[in-house]
Amino acid sequence: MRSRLFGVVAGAAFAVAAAAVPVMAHHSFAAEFDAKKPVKLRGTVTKMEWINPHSWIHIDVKTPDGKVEQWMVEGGAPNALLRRGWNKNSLLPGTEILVEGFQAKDGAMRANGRDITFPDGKKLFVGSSGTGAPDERPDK
Amino acid sequence: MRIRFTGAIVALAGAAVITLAVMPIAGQAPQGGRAGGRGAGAPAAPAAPAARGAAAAARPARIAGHPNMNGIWQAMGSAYWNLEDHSASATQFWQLGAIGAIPAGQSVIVDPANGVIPYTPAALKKRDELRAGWPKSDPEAKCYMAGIPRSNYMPYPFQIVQGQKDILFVYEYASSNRIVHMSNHTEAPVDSWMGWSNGKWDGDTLAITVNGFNDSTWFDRSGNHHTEGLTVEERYTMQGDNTLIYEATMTDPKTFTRPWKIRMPLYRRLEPNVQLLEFKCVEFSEELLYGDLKKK
Amino acid sequence: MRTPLTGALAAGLLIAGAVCVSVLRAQVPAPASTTIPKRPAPRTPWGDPDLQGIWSSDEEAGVPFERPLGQTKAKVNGTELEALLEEREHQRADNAATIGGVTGAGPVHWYEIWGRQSARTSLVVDPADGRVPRLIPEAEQRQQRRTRPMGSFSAGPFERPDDFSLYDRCITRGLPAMMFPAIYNNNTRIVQAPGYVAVTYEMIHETRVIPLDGRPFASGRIRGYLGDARARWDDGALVIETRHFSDKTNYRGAGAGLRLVERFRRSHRGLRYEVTVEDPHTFTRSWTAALNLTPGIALFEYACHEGNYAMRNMLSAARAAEAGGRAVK
Repeated sequence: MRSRLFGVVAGAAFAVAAAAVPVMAHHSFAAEFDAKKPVKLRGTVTKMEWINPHSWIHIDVKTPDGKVEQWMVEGGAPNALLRRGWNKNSLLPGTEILVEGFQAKDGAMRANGRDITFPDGKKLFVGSSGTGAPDERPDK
Repeated sequence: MRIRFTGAIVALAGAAVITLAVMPIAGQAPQGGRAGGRGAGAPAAPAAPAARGAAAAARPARIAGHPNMNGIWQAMGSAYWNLEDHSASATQFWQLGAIGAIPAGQSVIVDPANGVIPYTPAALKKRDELRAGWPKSDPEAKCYMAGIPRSNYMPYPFQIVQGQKDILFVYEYASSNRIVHMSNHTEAPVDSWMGWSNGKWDGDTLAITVNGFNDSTWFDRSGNHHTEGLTVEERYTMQGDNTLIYEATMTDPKTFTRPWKIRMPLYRRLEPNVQLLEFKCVEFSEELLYGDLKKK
Repeated sequence: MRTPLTGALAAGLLIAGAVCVSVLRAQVPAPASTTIPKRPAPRTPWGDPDLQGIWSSDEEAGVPFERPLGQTKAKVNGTELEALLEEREHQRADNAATIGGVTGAGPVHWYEIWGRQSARTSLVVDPADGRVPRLIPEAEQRQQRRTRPMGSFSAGPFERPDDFSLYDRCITRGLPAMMFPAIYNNNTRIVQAPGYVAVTYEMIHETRVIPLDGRPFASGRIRGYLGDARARWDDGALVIETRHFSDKTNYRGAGAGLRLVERFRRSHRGLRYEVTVEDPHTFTRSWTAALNLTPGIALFEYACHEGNYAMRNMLSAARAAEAGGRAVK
């Protein structure tokens, strides 16, 4: 019963998308990122672009051989965070973050940030009251 | 029932006779206790019923005790090309002939008195680099929002929507707009293209402080630029019924050696049924922005 | 993949939902009851009904646009409602990480859809089955004749910018789609002036300024993505009629012949919004969808095109795929 309903919802959602009525994300990430290229990045924030349609977090990632790669990580849309009280000072340069996501299809040093946490596991931009989202516990 | 009603409304609209069901009631007492409420000297004018197609006759002189700046406004002159004094000149688009040339204009900068933007040496150098990269370097070519003050003197009309609460500026160019917070002033949480506007009345002048800009907008098509440290102090003052005198003072210590001020009239668009139309320019900029990535 | 709903998580979700609802309730005036005299509806100083403010459709996020087949009620309550809300939250949790495709739309707790508790089973309210009427045969054929890709959710290939949707390109979400809730930014702002009402849609920042003075529509030779609109008051409700849409419009199959009649009126929790959609070249009959709007927290600039790295990234990815997966630039 549950999976049938899921199928109906998913099918309806895609049918709706095909009719150009977007209820999902701004655009399809499959057109930009490769689900077959998962990445795990640990880096230091150099800049966060609080922009739409998606924020971008720029990080310096140290490779094992001591080089520094400059990655940009696509986050969510920022306005929801602003409504919860976050602002441009909430993620300052020099902060270390961990990113789990998928790399850009064209091979560039860009990734879609599905999970962004601090080294202690706490998720980025989770406040004390939470939002009810299913992934808000640090241990997932 | 609903479909019949809809059909009837469509027919009436087609005949250009739409009955207004609720009319402003003459003699209605002003409502007390509202933000920006009236002082003793300025009772709400009883609003006359709106005459069809003659909006000017229905425009109350004051709203909630303040001058009524509602309307569609547009600047004249060529400040949108260059705020400073400039002779007529060519662009590189000789294919457009005289259509592709820049008209002359007198500086709209009233302070400093020489009408020249007081750049630091480094910022002046950057201005020249941006100018050399025109038009690709110009956010207007990319259909990016024009920020403040540039949005107010673009060659497109804009509309002021003023009630008794926050005031909205709606710009035809690029479907841009900005809200002016008239109470509960707070700080911008992040930088934005149109900035963060906190306004108040200074007598009969609408005074707006705008900051929280990003560094990506220009003041005109000539490379005049700023950083995210920019603050703009705007003043709007009616002069007669159909002119707004607009002043804007720019402060940005990382770019300018001192604040500087522009002043120009904004003229009411007087056509009886004037309205903002659509200038969604994204599609006009896509070849410029993405043309190199099209399939060959 | 789906996390079993443990007692603790269920409690957490319900508490979070209750927090959301109670925060919103704190901002909403007390509802009228039979024992308290009804407050007069607020009016602007010039006498129009005052609908100004920021209005959110967050509470209806998760309600399907069309009623699922097999569901006969327009609203449910009691234990059926509890089960429905739990089911919806499960589906949201299941779908969240893959919204926008396998790679997701960013961390899911950045969305604004969690803990919503609307009891409605569809946003479509007319026809009575809660579903959009069928297309006329000519419209079905139009849909099937489309050959170019229709946006980033389609399979491509993406050869040029207009292979992407108007939304991908940050041009518009179109009307009335931009009123309806997405995973975030479900806010509208109404500002009024004598003779005008202005409606701003947070995503993607468009504002319509609509005359109330009875003037005729502009010429049908001038077309726009948002059409041309005229408004009037009808016993406290704001009625907006819109027509003269551009031929690039595609709302569920409807194009330039689309006509809308929208109504906004005060309700005990905020505003009630209804839109009747009509296009005899597309639908077998007109139909109506509705939203219950509640006071919103804030509405921020959504400068979409200016930050639209995705367009270059998606075109670059398509060129790389043609070149055998290697980056072209």
